[in-house]
Amino acid sequence: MTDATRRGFLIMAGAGAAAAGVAAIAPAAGQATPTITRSRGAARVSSPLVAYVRDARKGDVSVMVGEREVVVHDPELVARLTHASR
Amino acid sequence: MSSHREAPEISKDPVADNTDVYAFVSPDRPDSVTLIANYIPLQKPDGGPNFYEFGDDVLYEIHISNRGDARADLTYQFRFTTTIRNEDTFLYNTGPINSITDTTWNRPQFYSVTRVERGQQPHTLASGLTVPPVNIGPRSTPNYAHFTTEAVHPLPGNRQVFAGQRAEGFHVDLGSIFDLGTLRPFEMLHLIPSANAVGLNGTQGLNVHSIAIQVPKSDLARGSNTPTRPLDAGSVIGVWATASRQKTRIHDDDDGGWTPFGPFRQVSRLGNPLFNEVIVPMAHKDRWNALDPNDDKAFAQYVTNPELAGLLPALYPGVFPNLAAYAKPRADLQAILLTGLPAGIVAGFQNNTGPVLADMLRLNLAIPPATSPNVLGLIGGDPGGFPNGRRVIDDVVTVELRAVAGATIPLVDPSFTPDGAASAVTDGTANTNAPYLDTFPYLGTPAGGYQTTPGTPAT
Repeated sequence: MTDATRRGFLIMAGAGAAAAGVAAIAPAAGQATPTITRSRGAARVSSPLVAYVRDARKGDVSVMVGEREVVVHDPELVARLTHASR
Repeated sequence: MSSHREAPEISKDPVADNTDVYAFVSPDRPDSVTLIANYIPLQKPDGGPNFYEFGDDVLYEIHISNRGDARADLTYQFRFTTTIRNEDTFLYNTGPINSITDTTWNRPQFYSVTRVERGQQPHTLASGLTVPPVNIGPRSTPNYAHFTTEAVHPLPGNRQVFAGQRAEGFHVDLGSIFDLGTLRPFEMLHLIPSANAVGLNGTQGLNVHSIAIQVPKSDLARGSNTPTRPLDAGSVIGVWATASRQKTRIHDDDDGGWTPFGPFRQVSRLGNPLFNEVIVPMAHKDRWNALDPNDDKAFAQYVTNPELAGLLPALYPGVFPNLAAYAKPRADLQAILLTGLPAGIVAGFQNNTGPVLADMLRLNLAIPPATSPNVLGLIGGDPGGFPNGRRVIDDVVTVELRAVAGATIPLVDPSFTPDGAASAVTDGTANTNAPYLDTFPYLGTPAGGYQTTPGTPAT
């Protein structure tokens, strides 16, 4: 496993820990975050990213790349992240 | 203090902690306005070897609202980048720094200035601007005052900017005022009395980091006008500053640093001095810091029924009987802090921005600088000063103490007679920091590390 891949895995695992209810980050008032439903298309991500699950029951994953944040509604992904954190 | 360590969360993040905001018509260039936002409180000048600096991961902003809705119509953004020239030394400087461009400064910092108009794309005015080093001492940063001149950078549009360490310009008796509201000149009258004493300036000899920008009035006013009529609504602007951090960060085991991710979220805000400090309850201070002024209606109850106005009669029994008996909502404080004073209260003056309740400094651009300024500003008969904006010289602690004590109630309720103490109350301090400058950036030369005298032995 390359360093880059390993780091990405650890970040994703960290997000899984967040899903277990460690911390909560609330968006500031008036600053909307776009929400999309997961696309099955192949993803191409060249930068590190952080995935954050605030409430696993909602099935939403907040993905942060650079100065952007996208909330993806993907219960299946949330379930897998939650499972990975156990 | 004005806003130094004023909320639980930001007190743990000094690099993003906005301590004071100033907005005033420039006394030496009255066609312009100077805006200053200070950060990184209570800098002990000898705090090396890793001296104070702006955060590369912080978005610093100064906002201006000019159409009455307490939303930013114009924002100046400041972003910093720090480099290390020599990776093989622990030294901040490898020899005397004689110029801000000297390579003996091992950790130079640079910044960009971006102007954002409401609804428009950001416009970068300049980048690669140099921050001066901190004042270390006569061997490392000799003749420090000349760094100030070097670090004042011209910007397009007849603007100029400075970012770097300055002497603290705000004075207050920290040691006494947080000891159950003690005011040393009146200690004999305190509920737990002791002999009266002279106030001690708790910020004496300390530094801050300032971002100062001077721009033409037309850069800030509604419709790009240069206001000349004080009673025109378009003559008044609202000003506040913020600091924001990205939503999360990950510790990088490879280099021991942190990598930020996500959009910026506001972690510090400041308009009027002492608003979050002594108006907002502790449980709500962090939330207040994350909100915009447009959301301040939720905090109006703490302005119209301020906790401090109830504490003064309790802590100083018998000194404030009229204040203690006053049961009406404090419309005077609401006007001063949340809407600005409407016309008709002070002859020839107003700084009202309409009905939206919002904590902002409110500056009437058509009021010329005073030829003989009074540090008590408007309550001292000088409409060129606080709460008409805020100058570096303004004694905002005394002004706000007297306002809370009831001195300004007659402005809106002539039936009220202030207690005699309301016009005398003070923390007893004067500015014993470095002298202010007569020219931009106005705040004094920062205190030097070598020149610093350690504090008194602990008792």
